[in-house]
Amino acid sequence: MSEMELQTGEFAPVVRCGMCAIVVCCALITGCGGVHAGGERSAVNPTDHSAAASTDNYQYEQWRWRNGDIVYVYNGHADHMGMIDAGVSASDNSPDVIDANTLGVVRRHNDFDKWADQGEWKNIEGYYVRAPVHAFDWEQMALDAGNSNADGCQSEKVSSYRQDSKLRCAEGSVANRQYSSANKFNTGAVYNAQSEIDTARSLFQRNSPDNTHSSQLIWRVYKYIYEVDLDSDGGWWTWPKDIREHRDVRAIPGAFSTLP
Amino acid sequence: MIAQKPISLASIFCLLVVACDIGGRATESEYQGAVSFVDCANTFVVSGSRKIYLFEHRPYGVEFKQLADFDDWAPLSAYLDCDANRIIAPYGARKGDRNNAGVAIIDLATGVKSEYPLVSKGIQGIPIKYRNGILLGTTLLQRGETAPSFGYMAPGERYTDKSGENYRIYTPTVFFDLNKLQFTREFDIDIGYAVLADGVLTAKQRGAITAIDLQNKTTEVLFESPAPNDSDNPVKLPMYHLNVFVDGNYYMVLNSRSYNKANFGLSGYQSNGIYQLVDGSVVKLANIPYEDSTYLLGIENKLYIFTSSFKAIEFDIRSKSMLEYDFSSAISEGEYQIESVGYTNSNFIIAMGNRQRDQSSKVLLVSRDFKQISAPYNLDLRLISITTNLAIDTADTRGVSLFKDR
Repeated sequence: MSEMELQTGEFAPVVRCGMCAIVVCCALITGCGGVHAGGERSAVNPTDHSAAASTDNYQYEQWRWRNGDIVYVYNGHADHMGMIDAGVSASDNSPDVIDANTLGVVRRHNDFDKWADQGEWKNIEGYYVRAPVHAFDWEQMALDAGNSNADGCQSEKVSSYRQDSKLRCAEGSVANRQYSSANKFNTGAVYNAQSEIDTARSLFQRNSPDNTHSSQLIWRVYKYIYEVDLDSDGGWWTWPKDIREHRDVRAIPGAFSTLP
Repeated sequence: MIAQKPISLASIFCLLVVACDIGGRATESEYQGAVSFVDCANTFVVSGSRKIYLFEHRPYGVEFKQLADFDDWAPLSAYLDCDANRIIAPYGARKGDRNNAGVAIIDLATGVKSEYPLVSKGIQGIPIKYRNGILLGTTLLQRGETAPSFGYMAPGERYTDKSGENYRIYTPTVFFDLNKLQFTREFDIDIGYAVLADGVLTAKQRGAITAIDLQNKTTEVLFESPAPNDSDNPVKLPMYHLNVFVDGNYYMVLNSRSYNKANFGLSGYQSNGIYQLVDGSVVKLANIPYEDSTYLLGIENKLYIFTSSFKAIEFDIRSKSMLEYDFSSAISEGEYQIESVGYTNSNFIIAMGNRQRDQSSKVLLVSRDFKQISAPYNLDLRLISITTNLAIDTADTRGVSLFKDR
């Protein structure tokens, strides 16, 4: 133990330096692209294969996930899908990932990064499902415009979104209803959706390849909870591609990464 | 004698096969020669993607050296079992078998690694030493119609199906016996992040904070989150807060990422503060001057808050006094971020990952009085955990984050 290899340096405690901290924090935030709270997201066409590259322009370092957001991961050999459970009861204070493995059983993962690492997924992409499930883009625009009360449809900014949300805007209290809609998503509902698959296995999984189990779970969950059919081509199986190419499934700007 | 020799060899072979079937699979042999350490109290294990490193630091000094390293696949909070001279490494998946999980044990005398699979249940979280084994969280969701064995159902486990029937969903906790080298028990609760002291398991358990007396099988609910649509009681624990148990008390630090409202703000809390759970309510103890807190430790009536800008705040729980230290000068170059912090009696061990994922990670030691710091040491690791004889992987707040340039 006497032949230690490293040298020792010394440093002294410093006095509290709030200004320095603020400067450093600002520099870090600016340098890293900033951390934003859900606003300014715009849709990226999920069929556009340059989607990941196009998101480089966004100043997002990280995304704050919501219930039901979809995570798509892939490497050179296989791909996989999971869903986000962002309820505050998550075990480790950060959202959980719920997915089905190649045996078709549902799992809940506390650690997103470890989940991706264990699967050796090189590429990670985030998607959300538009109205009527997650019309949060509209809701956030209303909030940005300082119009977070019941109507929320009066500002010019929001008007541009009314093409998608016209009917719902006219009904009022949209944000509240959308919030309630998102709250339908929970682990219990996912489990029940998978149970329906299990009880009708011949219908859902007849001869289905292992790598469709995760996307079939997502398809079934959205049908079970929101009565939305995310299978874009209506084929026998629901592949990850089918979900990503659905017209209401949108890429989350900034929620793309590539591991070396 | 000549005729008997093959039979004897065959018998030995059969015995070995049987022994392996009973006790697990000796899947890899990575003999590196016997690994020895001087004082267990000064050892620490740094593990993460694909590697496990064993180090020892000089008594009362920050100088350290690597004793051994082993290849592994995504180990979870590997730690040194000093008395048995082995490293315990739970794992959640294997490259060729992503459904597999279990416990791997590396014998430091021989370098042989044996694996004890749990098949498809999956393993996650930080192991908790309990009696002659470890408690481990799993990933496989299960439905239960009745209350768990300890008589408490956390709010995050309660559901009602379309027919109005109440039920609960949980991921079980399993017990691996380190003497028998097998999984021997399964508990129908999701313990979550927990600390075991004096037979009481203090746990953050799916929206609740509980004190579970394992001997008497009683549960005291210290805090319970409201239901998602409970407008009368909207104050929930924030997402992305840092938390730690110290002597059974729950402490929480909020940073710029913390939120508990649908639109990502804070309701009922102020950002950048230190909070304590007191009699069912969360009470603010102090403001902190930084919004980039990234790691929290609790040791002997003190909280240590580490920031992304490589500052440390020492907060005395009793006197409420605060000291600050700056060790950013030790991180000379590169975009490093703190991934994990461990501690021995004399040092903090700080592991840092690089935002450029093709760059090496680093580990360095800082004395507990913040007067000495070692040179950084390069590691071929990501998603790092640090364990010592005092604490198995204190990391609890690593979680869902996506960086553009990993």
